[in-house]
Parts: sequence; C-alpha cells; structure tokens
Amino acid sequence: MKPAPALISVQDLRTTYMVGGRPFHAVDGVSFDVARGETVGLVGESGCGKSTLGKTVMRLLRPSAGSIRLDGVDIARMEQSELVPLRRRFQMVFQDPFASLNPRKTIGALLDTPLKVHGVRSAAERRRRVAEIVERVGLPASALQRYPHEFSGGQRQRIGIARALVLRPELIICDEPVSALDLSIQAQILNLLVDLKRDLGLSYLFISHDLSVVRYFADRVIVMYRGRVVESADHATLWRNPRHPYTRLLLSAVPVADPGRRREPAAPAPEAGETSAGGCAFRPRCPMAQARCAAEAPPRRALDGGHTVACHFA
Amino acid sequence: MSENETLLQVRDLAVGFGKTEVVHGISFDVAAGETMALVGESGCGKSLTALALMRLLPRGASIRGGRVLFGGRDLAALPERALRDLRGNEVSLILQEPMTSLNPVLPIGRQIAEVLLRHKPMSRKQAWQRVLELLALVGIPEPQRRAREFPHNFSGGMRQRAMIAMAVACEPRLVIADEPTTALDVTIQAQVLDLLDDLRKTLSMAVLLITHDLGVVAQWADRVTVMYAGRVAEEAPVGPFFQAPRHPYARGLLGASVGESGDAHYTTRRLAEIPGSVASAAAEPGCPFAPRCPETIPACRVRPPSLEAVAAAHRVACPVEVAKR
Repeated sequence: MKPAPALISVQDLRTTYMVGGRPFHAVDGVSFDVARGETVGLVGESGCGKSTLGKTVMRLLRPSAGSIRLDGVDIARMEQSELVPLRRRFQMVFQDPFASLNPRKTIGALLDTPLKVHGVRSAAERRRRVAEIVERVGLPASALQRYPHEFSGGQRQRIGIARALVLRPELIICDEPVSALDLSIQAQILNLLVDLKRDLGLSYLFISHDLSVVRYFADRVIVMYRGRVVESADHATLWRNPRHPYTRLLLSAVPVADPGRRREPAAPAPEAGETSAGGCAFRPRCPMAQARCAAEAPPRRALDGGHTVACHFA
Repeated sequence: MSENETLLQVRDLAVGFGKTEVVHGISFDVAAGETMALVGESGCGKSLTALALMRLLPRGASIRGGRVLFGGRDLAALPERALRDLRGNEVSLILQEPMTSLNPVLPIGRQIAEVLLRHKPMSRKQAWQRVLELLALVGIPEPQRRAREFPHNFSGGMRQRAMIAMAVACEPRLVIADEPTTALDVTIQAQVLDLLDDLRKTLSMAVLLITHDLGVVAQWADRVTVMYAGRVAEEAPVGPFFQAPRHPYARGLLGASVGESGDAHYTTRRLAEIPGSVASAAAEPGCPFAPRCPETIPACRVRPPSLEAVAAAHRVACPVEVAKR
C-alpha cells in the first residue's frame, strides 16, 4: 500500500549516545517512509531504539548520520531556530501526558501557548481554535479553566492529544500513547485517534511495545531489534507471514485472550548476549543462526509487496 | 481444579486507608495447586488485597474486617511472630519490580540463602548448595558466578527469575504474584510465566496471579476473579469466562480489548468502549459499575449486588445476569 508520496522519509538514520566514553548507536541505519494518511507502527522491546528513533524524527535529538525529509526538505541537520516554523507540521503525543503538562497552567493556557508561539496573533482566533480542539478530543468546555492534576489518566491523554493537534499538524508521532492507560480507557483513546485520523487526514508514527495494539491500529509495521529494522510489512502480511525469526518470536510470545488457544511454552531462549562486531545482532537468540550470521550483518532485502526482512535465511 | 482441596479461603475481607474503605468485603478461594487470577484495572483493590493476605499493607492501610483462612489459621488475626514463620515459607510474594524488593547491597545468592536459613534447619553450606540448585532451577545460567553478583548486575528478566527462586526456596504451598511480568518485555514475560507454571506443577504450589492483562489470564490461569472498585464482579473457570463473560463489566473489558478479537483492524471494526471511568463509582450506593453499565435496572441502584451462582463454579454480582439464569 503506497498511496501519495511520502510525507516523511527517513534514510539511513543513526542516533549516537556516548556511553562510558564510547559511541553507542541506539538507532543504527534506519530507513522508512510514512505516506500521507498512513499509520506506521514501530514495535520492538525495551532498548531496541524505538523511542530514540521517535525523538530523533521529532528532532528532539540530533542524528549523527542520515536524513529526515519532511515533504522533501531535510530536517536532520537543521538548527532548532530553523525547525521552529516547521514544528507546526509534526507533533508528538507522549506516554505519560502528566509528565509533559505544566502543572501550574490551566488547560486553556496550555493549549493557547503553542498557538502564540506559532504566531496566531488574534486572541479571539486562538480562543476559537482552543475551544474547537477541546470539543474535538471529547473534553468538556469547563476543562479549559482546570489544571492537569484534576483529570484522570484517560482525560489527560485527551489533553496531550489536544495539545499536539491544536497547531493542525500533518504528522503525529505517538510514543506509547495508551500504555499507561487501563484497558477500558485504552479503547476510548484508540477510537479517538482513529476518528481524528479519518477526519483530519493525519498520518501517525505509532511507537508501541504492545503488538496487539499495533496490529489493530497500524497500516504498516516496522519491527526493530537493537537499533535496526529487522522486518517491515503491511499489518496483514506481518501477522500472516512473519519472516524474521525475531518477529516470529515476538508474535508467538503475545498472550492471546483465548484459553482455547494456549501457546506452546517458549523455548528457553538465551538472554541477548554480546554480539560479535559486524554480525547479526539477533544471532545469540536465533534458532536459525549459522556461521555466516556471525561474520556478516544481514542487509535489509525486499520480498513481495513492500515486505522487507534483514535475515540471511528468512 | 475445583475438586482439589481449598488452600486459601478469603471471607469478607475489607481493607481501607484512614476513613476510606477501598476493598469492601471480598470473598474468594484458591484451591491447592491451581492458578487463580485476580484481575482488574488500576485502583480496583487487587494489589491491596494481595498485600492484605500477607499482612504487608503500606503505612496507613489496615484490614477492617474479614478472615483469611490458610491451613486452618486466620492470617488476618495471627500474631506477627507466627506470621513471620509463615511468610516466605508457606506463602510467598513476588512483586512487579524486583529491584525494589531485592536488597541492592547484598549478593543475590546471600539473599536467597537468608530465606532458607530463616525457615529451614540448614547449615550455611547446605543453604548455599540449595541456592545454586534454585538458581539453576529458575534458568539462571552459571549459578556459581551469578549467585555472587548483585541485583544491579541482573537484567529485568533475570532479576524476576531470582525473585522466583527466592519465593519458591522453601517450597511454599501458595505463591502470590502481583503483576510479576508487567515490567518485562513480552518475550521475557512468556518465559517467566512458563517458569512459574512449571514450578507450580513440580512443587505442587498454588499461584494467586494478580494482573490487569486478560491475555495473561487466558494463557496461564485456571480460574479468574474479576474485581471492580473494591468488589468481586465475577468468578469463573477461564474457559467459560472467555467464552461468555457474564458481568457487563467483564463483557465490556473483553470487547474493549484489541487482542481479544484476533485479527481486528481499525479499518474494519471499532473497539467497544466502556464509557466514563472508575471514578464514576465514588458516590454510588448500589452496584459500583452502574454509572457505566448499559443494562441497569432499578435494583442496581439500591445496594451492591451479592455474588450469586449462574453455573457450576461460575458466580456473578449482577442482578440482571442472575435473573437470566
């Protein structure tokens, strides 16, 4: 499924942290596109680099290599001052909205600030847009006079979404937006995100460790392991025909809410150990590993229909 | 599993903070050798219940009433000294974040040995030998070396394995596991829960598994008790429960769950929502779920409904459902 040209196109992106004086590539040569109106799910376990990738695309972090093209314009090396006018177009929703909302400001003020920063001069116009977005995310108008601590987790996430949307962006990067929420609230927020996407023509980069949520919510899915993309495919293909041994391991570990379909006990896979430099990062846990996997990192290769996999033998 | 003898009988257990009661007189059983899941959303009182069973409630919280019968004794009334003989020995507890329950400045092996030395007539040497066996039993490689390491040297999954080794060290009859895998990655979760399930069988322990994850319940539990706002809404064997949950809240939870319908996608199916939030129950004299419930009758608003049988081993606290029986 490749509709319009990519809204955002990431090529060979690398984000490097210094750990104990040595460079560590948390994101190590990642490439992907998000098309207009598309939801791309980014899954992987803790430490795989998915949140770092989200923050780098958002340019909260500076990449050490690669490009991030927003409608063809590379933002990877821009200074923050150059980024400000572009930020209106891509916004972020965080896992814990409470931590990202100033506790001393009313919701009205929290939503007003981004409009001011982005040059909406007329106070009446700002009020109109704030009221509109508050209603759109399902909060009562009375919320505007209240403070973040007065809201429940689900309502706070609605505030976080309202703040991301008040600038009418095209792309929303969602980092675990429903992970902190109870199941009954999770459904409310996912439905809201679906409605907003349809009504406002949004694109999402949806980062989550929860495969069931990604399966429901994404059009296309990227699986990361240790900073690299190991597989990508449209949602139906990935679940019907996962090719990378890591994707298979991940999918088989998801507990299905059906006692009639109990999974086989997991083979006691070794913990992710040290990998030989240059080899495949998944090799120590891989049931299919051979000598070549230690010597040579598998490149990402294309299969049918936009499906890619980075494995010598998959 | 229900033909087995009852190991733990909780009767009308009430727990509160100060003037506020949080768990309102709940009753449930755990049979010897079974895995019973206690599920519910945050704030429903499931973790407080677990801590109350062990009498390890946080400061300010206390048991307001009820009994916790275990092997002929009432744990709610037992003197602290007798309780200490029991904890870690006959009943043990596994918490979500092992880092907070392990001592950061003692090697893992010594912490496990302490449990053995406290409860079993063993020499230090024997205890250390048993520690190495236990670490091997829970799948920690190189027990000799790892036993001398500190909690911070362990990964999250390995730390939880160490906690399990400590919990099963004295071969307890009941392990209470409060969200034991919530902090872990999904592949590690499967390994840890498989391990706990294996040990349950080989050591014939019962497991009281406290979780918010219905997938975990379906995969690893024999029976399930659903809590809502400090009360039991439904209890059933997992088969009938997932096939046809009877309480409107339980039905709502399964409908709201993305994993439940397998290959559902946003383009083809909208998730069922439970309107409102748990806070709606605060001022409710009747059923705590009534403000969010799609099928209330006047009786729901009078008093909290009691648990009544709708089928074998299947009980529900809902007058509407009980009337359908």
